[in-house]
Parts: sequence; structure tokens; C-alpha cells
Amino acid sequence: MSCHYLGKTFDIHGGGPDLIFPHHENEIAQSEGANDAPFANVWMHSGPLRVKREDGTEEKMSKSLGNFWTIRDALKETNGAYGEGNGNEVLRFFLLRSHYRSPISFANSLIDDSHKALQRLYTALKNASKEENSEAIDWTNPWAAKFKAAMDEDFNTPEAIGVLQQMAAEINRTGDAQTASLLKKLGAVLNILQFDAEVFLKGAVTGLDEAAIDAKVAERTAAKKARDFARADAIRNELAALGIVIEDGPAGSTWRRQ
Amino acid sequence: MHRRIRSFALIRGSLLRNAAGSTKNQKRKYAMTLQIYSTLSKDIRPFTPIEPGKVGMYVCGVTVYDYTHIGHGRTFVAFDVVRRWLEASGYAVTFVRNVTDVDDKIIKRAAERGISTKELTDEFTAAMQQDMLSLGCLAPTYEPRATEFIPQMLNLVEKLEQKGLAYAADNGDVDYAVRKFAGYGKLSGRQPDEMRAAPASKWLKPSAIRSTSYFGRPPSRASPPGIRSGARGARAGTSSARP
Repeated sequence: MSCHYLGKTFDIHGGGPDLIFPHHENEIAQSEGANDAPFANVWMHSGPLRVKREDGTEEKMSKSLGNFWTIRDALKETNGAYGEGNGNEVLRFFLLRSHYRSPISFANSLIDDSHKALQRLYTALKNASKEENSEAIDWTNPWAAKFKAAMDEDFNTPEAIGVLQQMAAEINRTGDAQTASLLKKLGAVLNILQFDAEVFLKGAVTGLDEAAIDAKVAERTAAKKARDFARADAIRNELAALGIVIEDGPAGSTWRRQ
Repeated sequence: MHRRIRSFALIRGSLLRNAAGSTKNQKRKYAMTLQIYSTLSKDIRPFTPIEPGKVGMYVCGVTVYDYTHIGHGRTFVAFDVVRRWLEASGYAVTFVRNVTDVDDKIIKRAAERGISTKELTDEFTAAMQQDMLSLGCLAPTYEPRATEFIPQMLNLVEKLEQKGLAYAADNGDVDYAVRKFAGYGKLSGRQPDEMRAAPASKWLKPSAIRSTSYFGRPPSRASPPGIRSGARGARAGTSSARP
């Protein structure tokens, strides 16, 4: 099949760690034995994924151990917890925070941690001045160069994400629109950070729809204007109980999911 | 290997410092090539494609008899990023990921559900594609199904037989004569002898293992059902990722 599309010898052959032997060893024997030509020049294998138990030890994921996660079950959990659509990105981001050859330990707490890290990146994007431009990434920009150096080092995604986090810290300090724009573009290379920041931060809201929350926030603003602070605080607490945080800014009050 | 990687990190560090500058000379130094670890060479090396500007890449897909799990997700997100980074680096990438839609597990599962293997594999191919999309993975350039390539596989097997690298076993399978392929073990470091020393299967008696001249199956013995674990992987035929 590979020969049909890529020729007898091609650049990269990849797969999961359990395929090195015997599967890939046999593929080499079959292809090179038949074609008298090297099969693939570079063989890439991802690292194993283990499941972390509550006591902190790790075990192999298997149906018989009752710790088996299909992608759909995992996404159902993450989308339920972090918002419809957000859960997909949280799981992808979680996977990218480990280098592809390192073992990954799958645990709820680590996924929650990934969600918090993504929230921080999106918060930086949300708070920066908006100046979207469609120019290509300038790889001589020091941030972009740092990101590139990480990715050029055997696709070092955890280090590349570390660069994005440093950028977010700078954006939080300076509000610089160009750095924010670059952050989003570098995110696009990994296919993360492509939601509208406000949409991501609002996330899924159970029990209340967005319009109802907007109405509550407006009601609170009106109460504050009327100096009815007891009422305003009551609304803030009511929303907080639903996991909604109100943020007061110069341009008025906005809300996001906790 | 550790030393290699460390020294590489040092080089990268110095390049980074240069990258922060802006003179033309420094920019040139910054233009560093992509380095990839290969299981075959067992070290990290600068990547040079066969054809400048183009990369051909093949990733083993799943056997479509059930839903994909997060282990698959991990692998496919990893190679999605590999592909995206190659593209961001200016390469035109041809990304091939097969679908293994012929396998004993597929036949068994389809029989259990009372549907055809085609119905079963169509259902789980669509589910797999949806899962990959949910995880933000780009669709492959080509996504061939194993069943579309049976004639090519038979051709390959025939070629191996003609060259004396494979031969018909007593049960109608064609087995690979692993010892006749000098490069066997270069990827995994595993040798046929090592396999033979390990108990291939509880069904296989030690005496039978000793008489085996290639791994798994003695050439002149009728084999009891169930002897496969050694020979199966080495049989000429399909390529698949087993969940």
C-alpha cells in the first residue's frame, strides 16, 4: 500500500509503540526482501499511554482492568466538563503537553490541569488589544524562532507550548496586539487556540443558557447603578454557584466559566 | 545516546541566541534543519527528504472493528503534529494512513453481530474518522483500505516466494523465511533466535520449537490449532495496527 502511493523507498514511517515488533520489523523484511530497496528512511514511534490510578501508580490501559477509555468516552467527559467543543481541544492539548516519544499518563487531574493552562492562554488572547492580521508567521521574530527551535528538535511540543506560555505572560504584562496575533498563529501550527477566546472561556453552561446569563449580568449592572449592592452581590453569588465568574472591567461586566 | 542529545541541546541553545539577533549573518545561522529521532538509527539526526521539498509519510492506521481508544488518539495527534510541522516548514507532504479492514477480529465481531464485515468496517471507519476530526487531526492525503490492495499483497507474497524468502506452509498460509532476510531485527533489535527461545505459545512444545528453522512453525509438522504467536507476525501479508 505504501509502495503504491509513496514508492519503494519513502521518507517517514510511523506508528504506535506496540508496532515496532513484530509488525514493523516484518514490514521491512517483506518490502525490502521483495524490492531490494530500503523501505522507509526514518521510523518514528509514539510513546506509550498509561492510565494513572488514584493511588498514583500507573497501569496499562486495558478492557480487563476496567480503565479503558475510548476517544468518544473521553471526549464526552471533557466536553461535559469544559464546554461543548472545548473538550476536544483540551484533550488534544493534554496529549501535546508530552513529547510524542515520552510515556503519557492519563488522569483526570492532569486533564483538568491542561484545561487550566489553556484557559490562561485564552485569557491572554482575550485581554490583548485586537489586531488580527493575516500575514504569514515571521520566523525571524524571536518568539517564533524559539518556537521553531523547539519544534525542529524532534517535534518538541512541550517546549513549544512553553514558548506560547511565555508569550501569554508577556501579553498579560503589555497587552501587545502583535504578540497576541503571533500567539494565535503559532497555536494554529499545533491546531490549538483557534476558538474565539471569549467563547472558549465561557465554555459550556449547564442549566442556564447564554442569554439567561447575559440577562442576569445586565440585571446586576442595573442593580449596581441603582446602588442596590445587596442585590448585585446576590446575583454574583447565584452565578458563582453555577460556575460562572463575573469580571468587571472598564468596558462593563463580562462573564466566563470558572 | 544521552550524550548526543545533550550536545545537540547545547548547539540549539547557541543557535537560539543567534536567532534573537537580526543581522543577515545571524539569520543564516538560525536556519537550522529539522532533527528527527529514528527507531531505526536509534539517534536523532537532521532530516533530509529523498526529493527536495517533498515528504512521503506512511502511518499505520487502525483495525476497524471497534471504537478507537485514547492510545490511538495519542499516536494520531502526534503524527498530525509531525505532518503539520513539516508543512509549516515548507514541505509538500503526502500523508498516507491505511485502514485495516480485513482481520480475524473483524470477521469474529461481524459474525457476533450478524452483519457483514463490510457493514462492520464501514461503521467503524466512519467512527474512527469522526474521532480523529474531533481531536483536530487533518484527514490523510490517502486513506487506503487493506481490502482494496489484496492483489498487490498477493503479488508481493509471490515475489517473496520466487526469491525464496517465503514459502507455502502446510496449512495453506505463506510464511516468511525470516533467517534468509539478513536485515531482520535491525529495527527492533530482536532476532529470530530470541523469538525461538521465548515460548511462542503454550500450544507449542519445546521439542517443536527446537526443530523450527524459522520462527514459530516447524516446516514439516502438522500444527495444532492455536500455534501462531511466533509465526503470525512474520507471515507475509497485510499491515495493520492492532488496538
